[in-house]
Amino acid sequence: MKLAWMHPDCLNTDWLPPDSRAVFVFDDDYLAASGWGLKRIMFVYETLLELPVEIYRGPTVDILAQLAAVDGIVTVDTPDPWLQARITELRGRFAVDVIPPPAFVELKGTVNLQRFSRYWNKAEAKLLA
Amino acid sequence: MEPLKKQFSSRPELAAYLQQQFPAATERDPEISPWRGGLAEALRKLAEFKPQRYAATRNHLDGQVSGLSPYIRHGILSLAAVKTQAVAVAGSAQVIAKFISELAWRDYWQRLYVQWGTGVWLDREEYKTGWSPSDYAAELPADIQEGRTGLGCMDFFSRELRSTGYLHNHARMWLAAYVVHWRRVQWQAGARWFLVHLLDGDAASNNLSWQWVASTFSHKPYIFNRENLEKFTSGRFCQDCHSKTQCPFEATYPDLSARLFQIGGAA
Repeated sequence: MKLAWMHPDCLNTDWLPPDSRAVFVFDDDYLAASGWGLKRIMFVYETLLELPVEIYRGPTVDILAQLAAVDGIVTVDTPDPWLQARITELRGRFAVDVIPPPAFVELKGTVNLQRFSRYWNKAEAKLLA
Repeated sequence: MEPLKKQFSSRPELAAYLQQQFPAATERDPEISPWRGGLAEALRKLAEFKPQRYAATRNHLDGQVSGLSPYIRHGILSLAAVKTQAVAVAGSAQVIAKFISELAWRDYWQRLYVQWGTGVWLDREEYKTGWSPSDYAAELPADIQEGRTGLGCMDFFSRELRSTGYLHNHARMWLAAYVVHWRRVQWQAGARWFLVHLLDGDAASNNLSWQWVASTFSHKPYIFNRENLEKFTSGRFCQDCHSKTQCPFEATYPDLSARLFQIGGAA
């Protein structure tokens, strides 16, 4: 059974394989880097209470390393640089599958992101179809 | 290695447990929001939302906005799931184009976050205000953080931010414009403050929106005037405001631009 690492950009077990063991880690380093206070922790914790997920506290990679099964780790992709750095660390030690989150709109080729209007010109027809 | 507790008899019991577990975070922000986390609450808000009314009312503080941003930010609901449900309610995507374009803003910010990473903390362009970055204060003044500027609107928004972790988008824009343009504070200081408190805060949507207001990621600085704020708040802050006879927002846009910037061009 794979270990499913749920992080703050993915609080939905439906995005992860059903036959995995879901884990969330509150990491002081992330909390400080992100500036989170009690309000945010409470909001996230309440979300986790509804889910079949084990909640831990400590350094993310150390915790996951202690829990990781031989089948490896699966998680959801994120643009967050702090979380990306943890994924890179984990990849040095385990087999890690990174699943894309549900797509809002699939855009082929290079997308010009210089201004929202450029992106919208490309996305609008698909989104309003 | 023991997992954290998952059984609690009440919200206050959970809050007390989290205070004990997370003392450093509690020192940063000791408040508990009335907003509840969880998919069930997200789905309740989604079911209540009337997307057909969004475009016409969204700029008003009492307008029909979804309030789903904290749930979307944390992946409790996907943008795609929200869009699908809103289209099902409205009957077609065309009639809720404005709402879909606002969902698309988040998708756009996330795509930029992939490209820029921690670069979302840097000025993406120069300020179009005539001021240089060093003309802006590095720290957020305490009176803004504590909600004691004497301006009824801004003090309300500051308190609302701290106590609930949520602000209507228009209130965020007014407050950000006040911080950056009226008080001439670096947008980064305001962005850090918002990230401590906003339940939906992430460094991409938050910082790049601050940069849009500041003009370091837009063609011109965003400002507002009293007439605009009064219109979209039904005047609720102005009636009893201690500063109503010396309101810093009481002016035409050309006059405000001349007062706030070294060059013209705001709107």
